[in-house]
Amino acid sequence: MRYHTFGESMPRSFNPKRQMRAASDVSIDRDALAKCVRYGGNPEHKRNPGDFGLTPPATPRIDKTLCDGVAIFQRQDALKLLREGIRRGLISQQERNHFPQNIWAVSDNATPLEAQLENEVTGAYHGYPMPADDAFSEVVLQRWK
Amino acid sequence: MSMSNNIEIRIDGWLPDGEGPDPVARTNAEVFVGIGDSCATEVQDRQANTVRQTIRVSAYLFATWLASNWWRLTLEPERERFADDSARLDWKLSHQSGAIGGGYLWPPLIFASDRFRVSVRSDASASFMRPELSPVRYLNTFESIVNVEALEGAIEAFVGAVISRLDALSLRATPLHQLWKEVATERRDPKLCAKRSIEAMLGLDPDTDANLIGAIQTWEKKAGREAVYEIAAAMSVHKDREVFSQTDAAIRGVTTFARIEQYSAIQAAIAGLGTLATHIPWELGKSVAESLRKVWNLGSEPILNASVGAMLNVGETTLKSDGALAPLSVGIRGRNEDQLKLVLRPLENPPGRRFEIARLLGDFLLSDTQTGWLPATTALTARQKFQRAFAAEFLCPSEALKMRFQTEVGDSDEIEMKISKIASEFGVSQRMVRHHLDNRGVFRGIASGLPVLAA
Repeated sequence: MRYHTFGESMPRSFNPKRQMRAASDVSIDRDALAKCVRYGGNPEHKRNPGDFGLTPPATPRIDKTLCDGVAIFQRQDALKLLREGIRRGLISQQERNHFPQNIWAVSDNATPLEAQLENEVTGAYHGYPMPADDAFSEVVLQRWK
Repeated sequence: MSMSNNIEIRIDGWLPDGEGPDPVARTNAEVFVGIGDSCATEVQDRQANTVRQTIRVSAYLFATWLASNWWRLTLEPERERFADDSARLDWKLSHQSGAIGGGYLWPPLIFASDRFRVSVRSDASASFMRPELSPVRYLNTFESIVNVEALEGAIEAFVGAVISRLDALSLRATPLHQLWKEVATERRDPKLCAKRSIEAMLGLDPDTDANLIGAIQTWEKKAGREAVYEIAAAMSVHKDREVFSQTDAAIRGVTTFARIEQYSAIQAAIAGLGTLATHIPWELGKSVAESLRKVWNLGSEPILNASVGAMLNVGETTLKSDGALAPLSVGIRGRNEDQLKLVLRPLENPPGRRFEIARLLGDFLLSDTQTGWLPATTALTARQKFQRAFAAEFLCPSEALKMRFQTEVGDSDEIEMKISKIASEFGVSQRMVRHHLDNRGVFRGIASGLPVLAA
């Protein structure tokens, strides 16, 4: 056990700030990862969750971005984008059980999207549009090009 | 812009568990953020067709962001210019709540400290999204200034409330628990506090560059801790790693000291005017400058270089020379309390040089005699803001400006001509005149090119 002594700096246990892996980072087998991931979806990001086969959340509604505006109507479309994000390397540094914590993509109508790992055992993600004033969307849009 | 010491970040009610992992989803809450009379979390709920004062978000994520960015939120200023896009983005991620992430619609808040006070801005337009993308729309745009202590208290209360909730849910060992313990340790330990403070002023997350922090801290003995913070707030960690040694070399290359005329009388005149802790810097700068002009019997007239030289007991040659390769201008106290060495960075234009000398003079007069280097930097700390306000008021008194704009000025061309004439008359830059007109309320919007004569 390491003891903290006066003035000695114990490094911070974690930094929640999102970080994207460098484009040159080849430490992850992107093809293999793309095959492993799944798309689950989260009803909190849907105006009409039933359309996606999801159970509507209990009221009151949480204030989250809605996927309705990005024209992704079926899970397979979402999964396709998720895999494309992996292929282009828009993968977070942070990971859980070898799955990236976040994967990013941009929709056909140029909306930056973020996918979050919801199950580190199955590799299931759910995605959502990034809020307009989320500065990290600048990174996503730039890397997507 | 309003001043307030009332900032609240509170939970107005817990909500049912949401979708997603503990503890994020189990701390969904109605969150209220208010500063003075302004509510940052007032939203139009598009689906319920109503307006509410709270937002429904994960309190855990909000608390984690506040805790992990504790030092940068409470100490780090914004910058006029960032070294590169990466530095600018990183500043936003630590200062704009829109970057908390997780798919929630966070309030559009921007926090920027000047080490004594924090500007809290809410920009509703920045967060606007089409209804099909966002079930709510933020309604309020405002800026408030709060004391650092008030922000610290608000964060402590909010994080404490979230941790209590987690404990009640038997979630006792979350990353937030550990993070908050770490922040508490850092705050209690003077050496850790100093280290984290320098990191924050540099715009670095904790533990990003231990070698750089260690190297900078070695300069505290020579330059003084306050000067180290001020310089750190302006330097680029990639480009300016030698700034301290370069400044030190420049200081050793200048041997002439100015001697401030009537120094004791000046100190007596400014003794009751306040400090950076008690007064906002632009007001303090104005009042110190007015006091100095009064002691030196300068009225509201322009000051010639010869007059400045006479008051500082140096020749004009000294005022025109600069510290070779000085990366920044810095004042150094002499053995006698009225002595000041002026080490100027290379400045070609005379108005810029005069402004820089005035900044160093103001800093010298206000600072404690125990302080080390007196740096003039590009940082937006309270001390640098004071310097600029002092210099502007000293060289170009607002009363003189108001008198020159008392009559109708006509169109923008006439305004520009008048600004040019004033700049030439007072030996200052036109840019300074514009900002001064704006800041002193003679004109609003003049610095942005859209002047409106103030009532």
